[in-house]
Amino acid sequence: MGKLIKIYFINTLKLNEFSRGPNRMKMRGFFVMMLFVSAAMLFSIGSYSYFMGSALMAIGALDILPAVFMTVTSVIVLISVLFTTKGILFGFKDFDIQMSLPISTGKIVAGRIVILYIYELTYTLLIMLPSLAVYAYLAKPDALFYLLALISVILIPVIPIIIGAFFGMLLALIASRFRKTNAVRIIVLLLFTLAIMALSFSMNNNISPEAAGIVESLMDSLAAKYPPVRLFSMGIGGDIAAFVAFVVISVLLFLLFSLFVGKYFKKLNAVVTAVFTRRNFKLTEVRTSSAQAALFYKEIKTYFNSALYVLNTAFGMIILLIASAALLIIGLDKVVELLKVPISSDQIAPILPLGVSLIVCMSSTSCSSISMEGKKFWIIRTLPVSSSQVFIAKMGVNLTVTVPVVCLSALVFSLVLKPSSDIALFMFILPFVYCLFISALGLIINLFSPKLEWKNEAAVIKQSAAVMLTMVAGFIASGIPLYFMITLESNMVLPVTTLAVAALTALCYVYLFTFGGKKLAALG
Amino acid sequence: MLKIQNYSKTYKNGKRAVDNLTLEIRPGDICGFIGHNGAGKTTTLRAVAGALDFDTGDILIDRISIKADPLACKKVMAYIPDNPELYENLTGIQFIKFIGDVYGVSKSDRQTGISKYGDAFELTPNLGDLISSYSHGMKQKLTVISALIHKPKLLLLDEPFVGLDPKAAFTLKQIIAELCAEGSAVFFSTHVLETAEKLCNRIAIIKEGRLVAEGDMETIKGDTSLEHVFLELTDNG
Repeated sequence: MGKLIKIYFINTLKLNEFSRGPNRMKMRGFFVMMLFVSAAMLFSIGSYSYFMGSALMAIGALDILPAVFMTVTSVIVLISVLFTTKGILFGFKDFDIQMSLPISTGKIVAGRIVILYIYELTYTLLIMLPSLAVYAYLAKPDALFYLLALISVILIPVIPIIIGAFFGMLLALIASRFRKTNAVRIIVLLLFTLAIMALSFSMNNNISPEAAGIVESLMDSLAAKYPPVRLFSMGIGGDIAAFVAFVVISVLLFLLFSLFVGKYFKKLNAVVTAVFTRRNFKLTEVRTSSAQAALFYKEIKTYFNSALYVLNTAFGMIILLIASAALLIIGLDKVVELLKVPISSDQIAPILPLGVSLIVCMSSTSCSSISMEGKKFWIIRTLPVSSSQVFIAKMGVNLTVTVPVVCLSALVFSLVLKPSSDIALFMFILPFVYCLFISALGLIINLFSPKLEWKNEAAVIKQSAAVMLTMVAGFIASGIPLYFMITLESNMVLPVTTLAVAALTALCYVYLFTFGGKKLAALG
Repeated sequence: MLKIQNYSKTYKNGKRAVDNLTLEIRPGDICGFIGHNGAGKTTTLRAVAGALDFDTGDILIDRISIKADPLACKKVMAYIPDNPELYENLTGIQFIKFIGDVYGVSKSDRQTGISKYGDAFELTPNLGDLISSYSHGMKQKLTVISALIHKPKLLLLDEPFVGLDPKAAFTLKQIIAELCAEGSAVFFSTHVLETAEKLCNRIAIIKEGRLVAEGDMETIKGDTSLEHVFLELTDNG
């Protein structure tokens, strides 16, 4: 089993390239960048924990801090597993090779579960370590806390992995019965994620305003949604019985889960990887279209046929759509009441153009569009199409996903919030300019940081350097003006930002259509 | 139809994959390209197809340099790799339509081509299914069909018979012969020397990136077999 896991990580993380081969310097650079990103994440979560912890300490509710972060971690692990079960646990590319080796199925299954666990443990440590360090700094617990917390943290991903994998399998089983497998996956995953979000929002209800009861009240609210959080919290607080119960339950569930997966491994794999075929095609009239339209159609199909791609890039747009619909149907007062954020139309309207732009910047499909070609890259390399045509098709997908939603939300916001005419104008123009900007910027970043060798598309859509860099760049490009808009409250922020981003966008397009072709030709 | 002039390719790790290769293929030629694994066959075919940049030399397709005008070159040729990775989420017919649109194939030519080659390779009933449901051989057939519908003047194939069932392999050989009779040229790599000997009128043998023999099949093999010549040149040469 150890060998299988070792081989998996050597291959997936390209560890050999790290120490030898022509790309070793690039790999080392990537490693340094990942270290930097991890350090930045640890610092951000630590800072956030510190502010939250200080606020909670002021009302005598500091003990709730680890429980809050444990719940957040569990939700992240659950959603992550839901997306990656197919690919890591089932339907992985080297299934046939592994099953043909003289290794017991039990060991192969255990290996896959451990791989899944290692991934999720990484997320868990990134979130839990800084938050628990802050808690320890503020609460100054005794030495036993460190031991209990360390063991508990290692076990945090277990239960969400089991729940996520269970739903992941169920989803794959349901989806495999439909011809439009991916459409089913997109809808179910979206509904599931929205349900989790709705559950999180509803957590604010029924919390006692009394300081003395706030810890219990918050704990009741968290434990009602995710019962293990109480055991975890009590356990690291020194309650040995609760700690033992948390450990035993996690380990027992892990063993049961492993046995279940082991027993049905081959059957589940067969069902999950089954494809719907008809074998009854009859040639009728074949329609024709231009090369540009064909490229665009191919890109759109690639995009919408990947549930992971859609949900990772269009989630912000879907939330924006839901927010617009909510605003239109139930009005601002009711939305404000539901979200418990006291804000008026006059306050929110000037921020919205940049708020929507921030969501646009988090919705780049183009930053992974070249990497998504993967081993199919030979096709566009050998077709008689120019690099400009390829770029237009790839950016076209980004614009198709963002522009209609941006226009619709701007229309709804303008109608419902009734802002001044200039603000209303910026509600349309600024997010639109950002749509053009992020489409081109994402593509340029992907040209400089492509990842064409991959087995699981999650490696490109969720974990590639291009995606992370584009998100950071997009966040800076929209977050800084948003910060100025909130703090300065100046009328000049919107026009200046529009002009600046338009200029940057023009530069991006000039670069793409003059030098981008050479860069594309040099790939692969 | 194809002129490779002093073509060399060195990879980033410093390995010289192909060294100063010169080769000419005329319209109507079927040229087999043989050599050991790693000899430089795929590297050469990919460069001709425009999928791989190269350092020195030039490659002319229909008298146009692939470096100077890659689009014009690609317009008149088709490339079929040894392991065709295709867009798994498209159906077979959508992939053919995509290729047809990119090459600007007319509606009637497309209809005729799909019908002719789809039936010849017995793939028509499966064209409505997703490519992800296809076997390796079916993907190979689909790539061949999509390559043929735009009637390429130069057809490049990398190990075309691997993965094809015997009937499909036979059909492909017939189609290759037909294409060349109509004036197209075919350049393909293979390890199956018998096929090369029967099908090709020209042969090129590559060893460690260098062309060790090239010319008409009859002249190269003389009174012996292609296998004998190949082993002689690659093992002892």
